[in-house]
Amino acid sequence: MNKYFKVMYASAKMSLMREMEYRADFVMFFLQTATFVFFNLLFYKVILGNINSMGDWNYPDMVVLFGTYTIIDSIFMTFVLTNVSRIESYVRKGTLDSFLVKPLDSQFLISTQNVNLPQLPAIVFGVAIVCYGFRIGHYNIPTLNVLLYLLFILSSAVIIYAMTVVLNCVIFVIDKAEELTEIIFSVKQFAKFPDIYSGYIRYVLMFMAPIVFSSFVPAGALLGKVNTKFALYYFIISILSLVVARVVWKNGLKRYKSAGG
Amino acid sequence: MAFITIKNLTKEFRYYKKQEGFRGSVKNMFKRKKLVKKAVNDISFEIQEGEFIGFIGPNGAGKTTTIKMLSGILTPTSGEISALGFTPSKRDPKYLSQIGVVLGQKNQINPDLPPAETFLLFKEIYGIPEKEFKRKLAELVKLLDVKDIVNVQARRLSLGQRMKCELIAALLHSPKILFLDEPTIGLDVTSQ
Repeated sequence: MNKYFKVMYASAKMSLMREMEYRADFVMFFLQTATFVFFNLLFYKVILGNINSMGDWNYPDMVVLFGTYTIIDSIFMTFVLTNVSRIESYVRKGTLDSFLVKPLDSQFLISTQNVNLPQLPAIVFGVAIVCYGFRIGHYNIPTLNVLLYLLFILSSAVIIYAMTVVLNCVIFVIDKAEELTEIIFSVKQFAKFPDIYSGYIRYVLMFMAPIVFSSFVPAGALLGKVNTKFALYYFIISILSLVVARVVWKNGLKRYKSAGG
Repeated sequence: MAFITIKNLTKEFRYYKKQEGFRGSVKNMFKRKKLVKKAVNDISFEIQEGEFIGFIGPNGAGKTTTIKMLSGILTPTSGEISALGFTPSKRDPKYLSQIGVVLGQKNQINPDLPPAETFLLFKEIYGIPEKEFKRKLAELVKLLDVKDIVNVQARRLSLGQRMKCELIAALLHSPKILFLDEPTIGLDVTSQ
């Protein structure tokens, strides 16, 4: 276990050093993140200025939800996307070879290659937005809810990671699948809204695209606005999705054809 | 007990052909004739400890494919491989930590950083003790005469210089078996 942490640390360090070799690009990346967060805030402001509530979510609740969305998005951009979305090109170009001959788990190695540091500050913005929501709502939150909040943020990160892995593994079956990661982006948009679905649609979505609930469940847990049973399902699905990603990855490797050379 | 035993090893690849031109591409969208190529066809041999074995053959003979199966990158279609008592395609870390692989067409050295940084990462991946790492690295750097280049961004090195660094990366953990696929690309006469 210790070894895995050491490798993770060394990889992260290398990834940052790599970025810093190109100074101008590194600075530009931060600017890009700042712009991204700014426009997101603007979007929230406009939407929230016109809608005071959605379902039983009032204005401060919605602010907390959007803050949570920003936090999860930042985690996704910093740690997940930059690594997992490369699987497709590793397989297509055959560069997966060099990961496979290392005496460590290949899925682990691929998932920890890069850290997209410039995207990380968005987490701070997210936390600030959540705090702002609390202030304007005059809410008091018990410690337990905060713990649940962190737990469900982790669940959401796991679900998004697993889904990105599974989508990228399609490359093992077909020869080119560059556009598949885009699906994550379009589905992720729905996570900006609370649970406005009803009846069986909720459960279909829960199994087909749990990402839709990736900010609703944590924010709901924090505000005490999520049904316990629903949250429990979400937690179980996050673990299941990790297992599915593992199985898909392992089976994909068996079909790996390598390329060239 | 042989170091490596291969029995009736076969690897098939599926592929298809396309008729020339745009018309051919359109036709291909609807109908593709699947063809099967036997890249490696029923080979068997043994390698003992201390032996140097080289594969010679024309392009497309299956040399690289065999090496990729031996190093666990590809799963054989049929047949058996036993190396150091392991089945390579299971990719047991205990096996992978005892082999070194250099694929001439693929870099393990990160192009954006000096090779020295990649060596440090490999030290962690293979869990090489600090002292051993320093000793081995100094030895290899001297042997291949690359003292001046290990701190230069790999992208700026020549093909041959980079290949020397690839060799160092594959040897740092003192592997029991070394698989080399076209390792002499770009190397000068003295290095070869």
